[in-house]
Amino acid sequence: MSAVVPLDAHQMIAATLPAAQRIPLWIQRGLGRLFVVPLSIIVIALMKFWARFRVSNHRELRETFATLTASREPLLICANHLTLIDSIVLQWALVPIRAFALQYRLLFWNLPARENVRRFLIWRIITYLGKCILVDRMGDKSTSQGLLQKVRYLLQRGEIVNIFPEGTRSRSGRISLEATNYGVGRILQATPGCRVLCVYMRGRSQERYSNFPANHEVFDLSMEVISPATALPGLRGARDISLQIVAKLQQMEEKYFSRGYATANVG
Amino acid sequence: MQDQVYEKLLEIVKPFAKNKEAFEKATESSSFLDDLEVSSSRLVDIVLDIEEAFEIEVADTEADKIDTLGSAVALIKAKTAGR
Repeated sequence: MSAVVPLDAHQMIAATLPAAQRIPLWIQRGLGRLFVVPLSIIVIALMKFWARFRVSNHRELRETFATLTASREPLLICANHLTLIDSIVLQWALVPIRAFALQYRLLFWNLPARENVRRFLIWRIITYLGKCILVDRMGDKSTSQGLLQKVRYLLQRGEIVNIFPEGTRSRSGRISLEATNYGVGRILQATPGCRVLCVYMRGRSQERYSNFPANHEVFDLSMEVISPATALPGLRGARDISLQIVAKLQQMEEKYFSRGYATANVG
Repeated sequence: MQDQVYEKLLEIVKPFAKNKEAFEKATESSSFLDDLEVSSSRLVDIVLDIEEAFEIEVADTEADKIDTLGSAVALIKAKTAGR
């Protein structure tokens, strides 16, 4: 009988990355840092004053996130996914501009699908400066292996990475275990000791998936740190870990709906 | 034996293939990702189902080499040879 294997920080092995991949990442980080304040002001102004978005428990969320990120231990954010700008709203909800102007690592890395951003030059620029690594969904195994190495490298250097374990926006509007992408499990297997912050975020008028949230949307967020563990090696282990995370998000979704926020009238 | 392996493999793959038309016309050279439009995570499910169905163990490095129906058949045959 095998024992449960926790993802232990003591087993952490420093990740290496070939210079050809490492240097572009740090150039991207450097350029992003130069533009983070003006870009954030524009994006947040659009969300606050044009789209009139609001986050219901802003202050409490930011305090909790500040506590979590005080340590540089690897932190992987695993969130549900309903709109194309979830990661931007999430960033705004969790970190004030002044914080990531001073501590740039608080602007987390994201892994959007290449096909969602390649159409418009402005999207490509924003995602590049906004610490996004574009994912080629139809890429071969060496592509996904390269992505895994980059994420592992960033996490072990105290960078924060946000990932959507479902891989794509929830088509039904509800989290589905069947849609789970096992990439998150592979990342965690490769990054022992990584903390997992599960975040459930939903606009109150959001019924199904969409490109953008509705104007005047009010977002509610809940967060929970979990420590996935598995007794299974290899692919089975990756699947087990990924399913634990998505199951947690599913529980958080049930809690969200039990509170009765959804479909409330938003003025 | 090969036909049996192939037929059994098709049964395993069927629920995961998004491109049903390509699945109906599938040959051993059909690619899981490009032709059948099986996502990489569902390909993991297929490998794990193959392990159970054929009572074999597939190492991660071997799983990484499975890209077509034919490569899966070849792996299964190699693992079950001599039974």
